[in-house]
Amino acid sequence: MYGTGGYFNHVASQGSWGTSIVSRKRWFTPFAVLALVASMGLPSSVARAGDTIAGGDCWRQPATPLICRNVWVDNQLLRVRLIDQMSNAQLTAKADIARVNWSGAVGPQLLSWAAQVNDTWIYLKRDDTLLVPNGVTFNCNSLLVPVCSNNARAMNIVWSEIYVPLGNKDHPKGTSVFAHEIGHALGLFHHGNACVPLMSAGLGAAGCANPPVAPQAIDIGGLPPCGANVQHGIRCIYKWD
Amino acid sequence: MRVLLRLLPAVIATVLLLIVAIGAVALAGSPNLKLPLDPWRGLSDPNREAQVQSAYDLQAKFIRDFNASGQDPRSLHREASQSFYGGPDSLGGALGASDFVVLATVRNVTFEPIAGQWLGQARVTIDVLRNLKGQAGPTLELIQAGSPAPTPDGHGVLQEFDVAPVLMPGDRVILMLARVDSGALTPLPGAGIAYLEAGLVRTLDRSALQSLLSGQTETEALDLYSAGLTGIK
Repeated sequence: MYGTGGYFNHVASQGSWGTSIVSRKRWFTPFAVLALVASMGLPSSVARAGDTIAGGDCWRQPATPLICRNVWVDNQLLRVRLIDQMSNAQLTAKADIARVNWSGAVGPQLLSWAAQVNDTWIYLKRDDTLLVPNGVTFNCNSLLVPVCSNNARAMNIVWSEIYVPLGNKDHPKGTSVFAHEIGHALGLFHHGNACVPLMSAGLGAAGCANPPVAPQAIDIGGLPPCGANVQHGIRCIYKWD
Repeated sequence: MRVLLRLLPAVIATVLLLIVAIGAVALAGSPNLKLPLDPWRGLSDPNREAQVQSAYDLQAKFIRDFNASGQDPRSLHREASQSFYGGPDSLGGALGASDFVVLATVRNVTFEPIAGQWLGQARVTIDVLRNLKGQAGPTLELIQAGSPAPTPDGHGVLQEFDVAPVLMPGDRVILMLARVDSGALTPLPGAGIAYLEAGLVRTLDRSALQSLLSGQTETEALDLYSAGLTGIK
């Protein structure tokens, strides 16, 4: 995947270099092996909660996969531009509630309809092949052959596309769909099947009558660095401490 | 002194290797490791939009080429997206939300790009073997979100939803179909697709009907649907 492959190639080249240096001294091999193991980053084998895409974040590369927005800078606001291509005022109004809720939550994200200096883009689009209430997010990079993925692959996200059907405009879960999908665009993965976390996979279920429309504590997550026993929310991805 | 000179290369190698190893470990733990440069930095909005459009163009060409090649869509690696939809959580609820419920086999699937977006759609033709709800003709055309997409390795991938995988030619299925905003029919996500494989039902992982239907024979499953429909009449 983007980011990690380059690192491991880098490590591999260091490995060949070290081995050639020590090939004349067999006793040296154990040290080289130890050094290589250490340099490959033992933390990557630690079990992790799955609430960021592919368990990744922005800032601990290569210990974790890269899941980031292209404009992120440590300790600065992450300026996000929402680009409305839905052509429906009711959908826009629901998306705006989600925008305000995300901007007001803990974390670097500041979402706006207007252009901001050095911002990162999220398109809001209609896809009327989806049944109501529904929504889905694709995160895209800008490689020569660009990858637009649906949350399965970690990447340096250059733009995102959120798709919703027109019928969401009248549905009581319409706002929740936008808040949830914006979470995916920011790098969050599904977290469980309950009705409470904004990033739960179960919000669309008939049993969840009033799903959240704003990120909850578990979506925000604990202070970084995030370990095996700390949930990985938005603060973990962007090192918002 | 001679012994020391003999050991000198080994000492130098040790020091160099330690420097490399310590550096690599420090790099791995560093919160300030440089990320890849922002590929959009300094680009104007029109230039950024042009990059997005060129991605759409590439995707559309990939879909058209895929159709033209006659390649079996089953040959593509399938990538299921996480979607919001949960839908009805009972057989009665799902049957009630459906316009048609049919036993069918899938005849054909083709893919279409959609202008102005990455995600394409699948157009699926099914042969109706039995109507359980509604009076469908001998064939129905369905729409599903999902399409092949290019990948950097050149192999491509089939992008689809976890709750509504694209139906494949030859699939034997019990489908609960509903109309989307465009008026087209699509399987109800989650509960709406039940595969019949070697005479037994296999439901989707996110289907609310998994415990009810999975492992049932075709006859048993059809009886359950029929009983459910009687219950909601």
